[in-house]
Amino acid sequence: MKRINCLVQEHQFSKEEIKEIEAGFREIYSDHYGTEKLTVFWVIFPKGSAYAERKPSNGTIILIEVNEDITKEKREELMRLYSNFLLKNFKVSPLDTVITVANTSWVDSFFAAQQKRIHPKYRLWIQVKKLFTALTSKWRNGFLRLRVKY
Amino acid sequence: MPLYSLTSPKNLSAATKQKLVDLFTDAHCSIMIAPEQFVHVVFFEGIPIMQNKHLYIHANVRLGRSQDQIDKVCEAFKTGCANILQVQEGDIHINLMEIDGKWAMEGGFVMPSPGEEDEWMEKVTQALSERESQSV
Repeated sequence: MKRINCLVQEHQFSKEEIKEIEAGFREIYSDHYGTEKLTVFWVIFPKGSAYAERKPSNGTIILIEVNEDITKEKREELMRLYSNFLLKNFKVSPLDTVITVANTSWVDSFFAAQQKRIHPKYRLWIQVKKLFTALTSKWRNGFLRLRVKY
Repeated sequence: MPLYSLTSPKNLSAATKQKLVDLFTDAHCSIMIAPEQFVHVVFFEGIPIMQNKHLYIHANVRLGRSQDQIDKVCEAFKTGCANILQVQEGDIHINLMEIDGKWAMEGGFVMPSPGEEDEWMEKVTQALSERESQSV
């Protein structure tokens, strides 16, 4: 299983658009890289929770997991495909986009750090809340949304 | 990139967040020698932090900075955050994760390694000024 983690702003996309973006991301991945099962997470920042260049952010930050043996050329091809997809279909400027195509070991460390930051006493509770929110969002909206505030 | 994710057990006021954003932008740009256009700071709130810390900083920065730069920027974050939040420096935890710049695309171009920014910066600055001139 591979993961895509998307950080976007609340005002940027409608729920329908998020579903379309996710479908596009999945298609790019399967057509140009691999057919492994893909889980896509969405972190949608409300106003006042994300900043870029000191100001409220318009940024779209995407993290895409790939195998350790990916070539430089394939990694760059994927970055361009995702960036062009966002520009062409959703008018998201590459100037406001960060696309990271990272190896599994790095992505594992990234998600492990997200877990480790939580006080061990509350880790299970936070996990349950996180899972509940994600699954409820999947059921209601069609995509896995992660919480910003608990 | 960089992306600084700040996790706090409490909700932070807008004014406090802006102070933290300015601190991270200033420290990153002056110590890591990087343009502020690409400094991202995001907040997660209401999460009890390991060891009862008051702030957990997760930093994704490009690989290739000197240890001296990393030490200096971490020190600046700790001192500055402690000052803004009125807590002890020991109440701030920093987890710095480096990533190869070549794994990321920002501004429409694959990011350079630290010290190789000139050509990349030229392209991005041109793209930014084109966008600004179009919006006038």
